[in-house]
Amino acid sequence: MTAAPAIETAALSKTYAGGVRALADLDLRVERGEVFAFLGPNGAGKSTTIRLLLDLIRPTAGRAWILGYDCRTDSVETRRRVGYMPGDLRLFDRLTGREQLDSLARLRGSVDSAWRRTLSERFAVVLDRPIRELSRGNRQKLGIVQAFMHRPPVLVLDEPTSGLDPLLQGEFRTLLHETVAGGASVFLSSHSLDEVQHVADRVAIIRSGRLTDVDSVERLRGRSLRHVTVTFSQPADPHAFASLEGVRVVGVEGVVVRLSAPVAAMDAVVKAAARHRLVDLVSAPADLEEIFLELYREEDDRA
Amino acid sequence: MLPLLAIALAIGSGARTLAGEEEAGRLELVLSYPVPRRRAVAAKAAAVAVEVAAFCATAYAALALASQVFGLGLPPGRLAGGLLSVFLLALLHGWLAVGTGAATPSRALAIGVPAAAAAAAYLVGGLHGLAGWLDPFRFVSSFWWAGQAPLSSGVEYAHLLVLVLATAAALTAALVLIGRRDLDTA
Repeated sequence: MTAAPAIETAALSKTYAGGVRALADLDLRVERGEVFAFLGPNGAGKSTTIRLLLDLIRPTAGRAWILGYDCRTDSVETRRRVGYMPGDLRLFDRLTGREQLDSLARLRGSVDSAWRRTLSERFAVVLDRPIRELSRGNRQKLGIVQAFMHRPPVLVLDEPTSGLDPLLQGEFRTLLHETVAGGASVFLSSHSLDEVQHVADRVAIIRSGRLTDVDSVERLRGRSLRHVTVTFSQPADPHAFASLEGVRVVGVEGVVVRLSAPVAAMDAVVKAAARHRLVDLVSAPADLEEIFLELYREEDDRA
Repeated sequence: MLPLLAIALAIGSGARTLAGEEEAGRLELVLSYPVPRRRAVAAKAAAVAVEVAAFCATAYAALALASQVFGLGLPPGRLAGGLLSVFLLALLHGWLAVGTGAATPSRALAIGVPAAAAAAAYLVGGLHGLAGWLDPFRFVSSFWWAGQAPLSSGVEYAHLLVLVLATAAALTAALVLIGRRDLDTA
């Protein structure tokens, strides 16, 4: 089993009662020791995938494995090896944070209690007040501690940093880096590229229950768009750019033309610009959020 | 009166512990831990049994004391038999609530189904002697099997065995049904 990937799915599909197709033929492979981000807008099928991995819901078709154990037939073994943070974390409001963690630790069986204390300290978890009195961020911190406290080899985190303040988001990123450095794997769902681009090794993009893309963050950037601002010596016709493959004219203000262009089209852009007298040409990388949007636009164009 | 109180307590407990926890979204975290679903449901059913048993033990103590103080002369054995029948009647409906919660995530149904079963059984058990056409149906009434007046006339232990079997069937159904469905995570 040592060779088995952290998470693997084969044609995993889920259609809910009522015919809602939440996930279609998902093929994924999360390697050991990587942070794998699972990205998509709300309702794209991220939580459905995660719940299938944990056997909380059952697939309509296809299979999934965690560390080689079948998520359906060996679900107790898979769940023993997973730390899970639900997207919508519900805790026992009457209990204090400490009581809740004690209760979950008993359910878990074996927990590294020194590590649990360290985690609680690092995230400044409020342990001695009833959970009903805690803010969303403070509840979320309890969610982090319970997911990491048994040092699981696989972490499945559904939108883990929502509600955390920026300082703790930084601490959380540090924790993720330490976790994968120790050989564990992280499956991280998010609807925001910004949130994952500093931690993820690879990114999968899911939309309407279908995987649209898997790539490394680096390559995603490399494939990425450039914001090109061309300043001519006199007003120029932007149509010469609009006809180029993948290029969009974002705006024209007098002598200044703003474009968004894939890296692959840069040569054509420069040659088209060079037919006129230039004052300036600035090319800047678009951020991942925009690349994300552009991928969606391509999808729509193809559909 | 005592059986109805015990049943209400048992149904409330059975509905809260499974369907209620699922509706509140707290079952998701628990079942993401390495706990077989069946074991989680069995633990919840056991908690219902403990609650009902505590209620019946308290009632036994109170009635035994009242019998002493007011000189009612209830034989302890008959009182114990009566409360055993109350215990089984309540446990049956409490576990029906757990079973309904295992089949569907609705707390309203987990209360409604066993409550309707109890009401029907109560009516049939009470009226079958008056309305002749109901008489053949007395065998489906849990109240009939529990005995009509256990404190004055004692209980038929052979009849209680039927309640034991029905209760075991309710638990078995709960353990089977919980494994078969998607957890409700809306």
